[in-house]
Amino acid sequence: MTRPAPSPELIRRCLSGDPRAKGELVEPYLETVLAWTRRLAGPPLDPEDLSHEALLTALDRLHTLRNPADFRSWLYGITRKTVAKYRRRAWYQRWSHSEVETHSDPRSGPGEDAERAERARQCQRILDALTPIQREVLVLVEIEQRTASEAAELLGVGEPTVRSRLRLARAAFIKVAREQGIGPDASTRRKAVGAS
Amino acid sequence: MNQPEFPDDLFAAYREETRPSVGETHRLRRALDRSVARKGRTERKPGRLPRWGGLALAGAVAAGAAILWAVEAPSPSGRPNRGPPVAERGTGAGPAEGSKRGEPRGGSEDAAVRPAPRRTRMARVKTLARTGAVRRDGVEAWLRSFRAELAECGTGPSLTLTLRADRFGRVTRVDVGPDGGARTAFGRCAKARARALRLPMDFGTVAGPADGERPAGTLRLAIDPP
Repeated sequence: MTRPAPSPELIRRCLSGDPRAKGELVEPYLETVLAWTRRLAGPPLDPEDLSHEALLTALDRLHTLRNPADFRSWLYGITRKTVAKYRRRAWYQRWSHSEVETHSDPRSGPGEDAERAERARQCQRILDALTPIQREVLVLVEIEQRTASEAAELLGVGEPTVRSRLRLARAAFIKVAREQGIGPDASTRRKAVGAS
Repeated sequence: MNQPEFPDDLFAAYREETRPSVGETHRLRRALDRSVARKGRTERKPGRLPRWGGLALAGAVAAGAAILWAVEAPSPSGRPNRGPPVAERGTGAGPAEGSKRGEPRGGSEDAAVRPAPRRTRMARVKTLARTGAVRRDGVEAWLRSFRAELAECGTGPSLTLTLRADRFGRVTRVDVGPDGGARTAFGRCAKARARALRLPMDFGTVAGPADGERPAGTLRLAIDPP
């Protein structure tokens, strides 16, 4: 999941305006940014539009990147701000007419697909009820399965802070799930513990 | 300490369902390529006018106003370039001369039998608000595409039609209202048209941004039915 940071040479070529270098720079992160935007923003916002805007902003502001080694966390910060900006535009909420998109897995049957889509919708509803900080820490650690140190690097905070936020986010998630009458599947239960 | 049970399966399902597809990644790559290829898009802050942009904008507005004035002003021959609707003609408005064909001008009977010029059947469209880069001319093309339905709607109250287009210029959503316009004949017509087109769907490039411009937008229009 962790990708190597772009080389200083590649950054330099991008800053000099080389379109091919810009393509090379963002190519490895397209999927990651798409996943971030979809999971951080939720259905009311179009993840492709958000990703497009976030990546263009990143290319626009590449000169503000101090250390190429921090490119991933810097890009995450831009994505997060882009999502927050779009969420503030209240009118986008009016176009909220979609649910979580379903990507059918050819290996599973239609029944399994429907059940999984329903569970995903339940998860979406719970995440929507959380605060942005709780949501993003759950997205990074529980959904994207990053370690606490990786999440700390992306969020620009210390590891203890991530663990603390994660603990509170998990508690809030379970509380909202209970309020919405959503229970865990008996086959995959586990105890809520600290960050992995 | 008794820890609550944590619903792992919810996260697993959500992870699978929200995983970006190959198609999405491909579309994003293409859109970015177009944006990057457009010189200047990534060389200035989004949303901020480039240098001399204000002056260019003012010039464009002045040119537009001049064109509008030229269209509205009577031609040297005295005939109006854009007259009132047919039903109002011959009631004193407009010059006293007859038309080129030598038809007698004036008189309500003549106005009643003369077919209305085509453009008077077209709904008048006024832009109320715009976000993103949806082009009004594209939307008008969209409206023209169901001219026949519009003509059948007859008269009715104005309504607000909101179109949303994605960054590829496809109309993705049509919303009639929220001023109750959906209940009017024209509103029903617009809705039916959208359903016939199975929106959201690929709808060519009739309403939307040019390649590489801002990704999406909405356009709110006030429409006076013909």
